[in-house]
Amino acid sequence: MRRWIINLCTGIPLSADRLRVPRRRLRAQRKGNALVEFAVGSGVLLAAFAGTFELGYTLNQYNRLLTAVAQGARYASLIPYDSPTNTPSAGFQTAVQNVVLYGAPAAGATAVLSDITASNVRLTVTFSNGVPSSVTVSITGYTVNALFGNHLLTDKPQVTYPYQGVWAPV
Amino acid sequence: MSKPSAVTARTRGSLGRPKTRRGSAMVELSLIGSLFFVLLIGLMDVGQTLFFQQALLERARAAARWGAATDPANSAGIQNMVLYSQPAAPEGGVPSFGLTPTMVGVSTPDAGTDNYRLVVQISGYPVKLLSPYLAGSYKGAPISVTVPLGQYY
Repeated sequence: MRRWIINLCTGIPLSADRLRVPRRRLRAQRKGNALVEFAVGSGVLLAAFAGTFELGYTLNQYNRLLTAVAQGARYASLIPYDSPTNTPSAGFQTAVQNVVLYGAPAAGATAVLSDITASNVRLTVTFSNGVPSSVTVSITGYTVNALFGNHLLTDKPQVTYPYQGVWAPV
Repeated sequence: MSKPSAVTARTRGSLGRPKTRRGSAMVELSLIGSLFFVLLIGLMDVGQTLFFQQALLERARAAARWGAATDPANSAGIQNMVLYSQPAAPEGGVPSFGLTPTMVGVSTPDAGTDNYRLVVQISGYPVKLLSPYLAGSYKGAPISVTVPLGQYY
């Protein structure tokens, strides 16, 4: 039993003299230690590395999406709203989605993230007292693939602005 | 008394110190050390790249906001806001982050419509990497900020 009381960092048994274990046996015990230590140590290190990467990458992608969504919501809050109900017209919705994805009302070449589409951009218009009062833009159903794990984004990032444009229902 | 085993004989030096373990520390250090330093330098590179991106994005955003609040047509002033954080270029001033005026694009597309907007772009700014095999100067990912000006213009 006693021979397993060892220092995990150095592999040297604690108070070896007091335990009176022959030196030869100590060395024999230490032989396997390096391998076990390496397995345990590298496992912990790799897990920490993977976790750091996953978290950092996901936050970076989230930050990019947040910037894009805020840009789209700001655009939506300013342009004329041409639908009589809280269901936006196809033109309005497409323009907002394009601002989120490409930074311009017309579709561009490269989106904010490589595999995101217009279906991932959700636009909600809220009416109060019979007029449009706020617009909400969010990302939904998009999965961030961070190599060591996936994160499904549902209605986040989400940005809401009060509607400040002209309501001109057709 | 038992005879010393072959393993014991090999590991024991003249002063009774383990012989073969002396070199292994060096080998271990070179193996772990190179991995450690590659990780460390890679970390610095990633951090630096992200820092540059965020800093320049903030610059572009501040410049676009300034332009939208003053005069969107004043592209030289907006460009100077990106380069120097002030509308007028200072005498003998050197732009931050290794920027040059050609890297900063200012445009106002769709004038006269509801989509009238101010676009500030930064592209081709230098990012210097230190990692082995990757060391050198690279062009950073392009940055684009759009501010809608709406029907007010």
